[in-house]
Amino acid sequence: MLLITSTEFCTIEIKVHHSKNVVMKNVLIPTDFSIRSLRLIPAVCAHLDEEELNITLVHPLASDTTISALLRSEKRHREARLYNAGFREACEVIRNRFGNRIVRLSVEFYYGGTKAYLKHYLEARQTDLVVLTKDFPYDRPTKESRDIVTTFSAAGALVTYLPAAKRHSLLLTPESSLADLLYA
Amino acid sequence: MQQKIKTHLKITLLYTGLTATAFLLLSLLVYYFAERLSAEDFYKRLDIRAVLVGQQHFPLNEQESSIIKDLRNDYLERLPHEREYIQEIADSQSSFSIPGLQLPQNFYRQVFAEQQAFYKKGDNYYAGILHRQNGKSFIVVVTAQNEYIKNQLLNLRYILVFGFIGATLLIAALGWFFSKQIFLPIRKMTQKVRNINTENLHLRLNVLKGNDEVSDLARTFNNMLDRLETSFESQNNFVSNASHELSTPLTSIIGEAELALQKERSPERYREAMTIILKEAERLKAIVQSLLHLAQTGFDGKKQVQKVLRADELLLSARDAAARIYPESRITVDYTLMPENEEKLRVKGAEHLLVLAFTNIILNACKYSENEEVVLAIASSNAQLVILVKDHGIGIPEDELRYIFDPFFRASNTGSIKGYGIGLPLARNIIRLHQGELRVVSVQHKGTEVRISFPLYDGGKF
Repeated sequence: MLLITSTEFCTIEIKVHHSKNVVMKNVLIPTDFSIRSLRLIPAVCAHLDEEELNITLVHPLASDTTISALLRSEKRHREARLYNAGFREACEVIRNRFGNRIVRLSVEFYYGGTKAYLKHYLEARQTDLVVLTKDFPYDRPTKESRDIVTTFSAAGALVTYLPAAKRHSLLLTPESSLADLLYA
Repeated sequence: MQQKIKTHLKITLLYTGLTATAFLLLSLLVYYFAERLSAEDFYKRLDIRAVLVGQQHFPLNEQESSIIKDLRNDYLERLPHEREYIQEIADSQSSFSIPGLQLPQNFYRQVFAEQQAFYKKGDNYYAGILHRQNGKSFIVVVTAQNEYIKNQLLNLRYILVFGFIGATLLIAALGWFFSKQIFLPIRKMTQKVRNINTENLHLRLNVLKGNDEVSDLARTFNNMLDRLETSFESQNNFVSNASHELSTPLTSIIGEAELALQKERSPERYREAMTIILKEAERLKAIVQSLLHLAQTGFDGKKQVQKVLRADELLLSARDAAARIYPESRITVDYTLMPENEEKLRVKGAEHLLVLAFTNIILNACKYSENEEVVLAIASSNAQLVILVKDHGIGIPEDELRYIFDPFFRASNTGSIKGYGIGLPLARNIIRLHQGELRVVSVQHKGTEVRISFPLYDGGKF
């Protein structure tokens, strides 16, 4: 049975431009919609020097495969709420920080459950790199969210663990804010 | 009270006058047309009678005359003061008259030309026709008085006059009542504003949502109060900064001099004391000069010039100003989120005001964290410039967070740290003047984070 695959429903920058000599890299960064998870973006920029990047932030969700769920579109609206104003602002800040290096920054949801599914997903997007971190635990913001490390470590060789340490130990409130984005 | 009544009376009178005039015109129009149409109707009736009179007196045969006479008596009522006149006219006659009637020559001429004419004098209506018979021409004139319409028109006149008076009184009363209502929000505003003076410049008017003139007025008032309060607080702030800054070197000078004078000391000791005094005095001079500069740029009486500025430069100026006042402070600027593109750092505003606002926030951070590390960060989202000031200080108790913007408010945990409670309200007003927002998050004993955001300069696109 064909599952409806992940839907991309927002893009931060629409124009895509390539400079002549530099090859663009497609990077997948799983996120739990916390602002600290965006610290992986600077980590990637440091890791892949001089490259232009097409970054996709992806959140894994378990999909409900009953017909009624597939036909219901309101579920998508619930998921869309995860992508809130604070997160969006943090994305814009990071995008402006790196200017032209980040060619495109988009947010997607991933509904696959098997290794084969993941393999096809990555192949279709010509993903060069999947970035995870050991420096903080990933949250599960909704009931349907899957565990990020389990889901994406199945990508095998494409996975890289990068550091995302926070430089200033000025952790103030449990509520995440732009300040969580300050990194080493 | 006197002034208010006059305006509201003026409005009522004006409104009533206009409506009454319109009503008057309408009444006149109604009366005029009623009269004209009734006259036309009466003329038609006279005309029929004139024709019949003609037929009756010059019948084609004997029977016709009596038939017509009967018809007339049975079906045509006799009009009040009805009289008929018949006169033969020779074709060559140039002027006409009928004895017993004063009719103008125009009337006769019209009868000849159009075979029909009408005339009214006072209450008497005249209708004339031309009747030709056996080669001879006769003028037949029938006249009567229109009693029926006279009564109707009289009634109509009374109705219109009383209606007019009644309506005018009603309009005046309603107008008076409604114009009072209209002035009610303005009266309320006046009441509220009366209470605002130098002690509570932070009061603002309630602005209801909506775009009507009254809300506009309230909003404009609030803007003006913002500006007044800012300028007022700037002055207070200046005075408090000045007194603090000047007292420190003065204390050193006095202390050093007193110590040296306590007993007889060696010339080297005196020289040392003088050197210290000189150094402090020079420092004092530098401080006085920079304070004067601050005052001059703030109050030179010229209109606030809004220029396109670079936010990172503003932040650095503020950092430097704060570092001069608290040399032992540790202020770091974190550039990790600073946008690469310099266009994203441009804002429009008044330079000295923005620097003052940032300086106050940074000074607070240094002061209340007793010179532990203070971090400044700058970042921009697509439409906003964001500046963060984080410290490791004493924090603000949660239940007092809502009062921190009140002028002269000092939180309960400030203890021995000196301050006047002016810096933060002033900063917020300045940010507000630039259409920005200032938010404070704090945890007691852990620290405080101040987030300042305001719109980026969009290159004048809109």
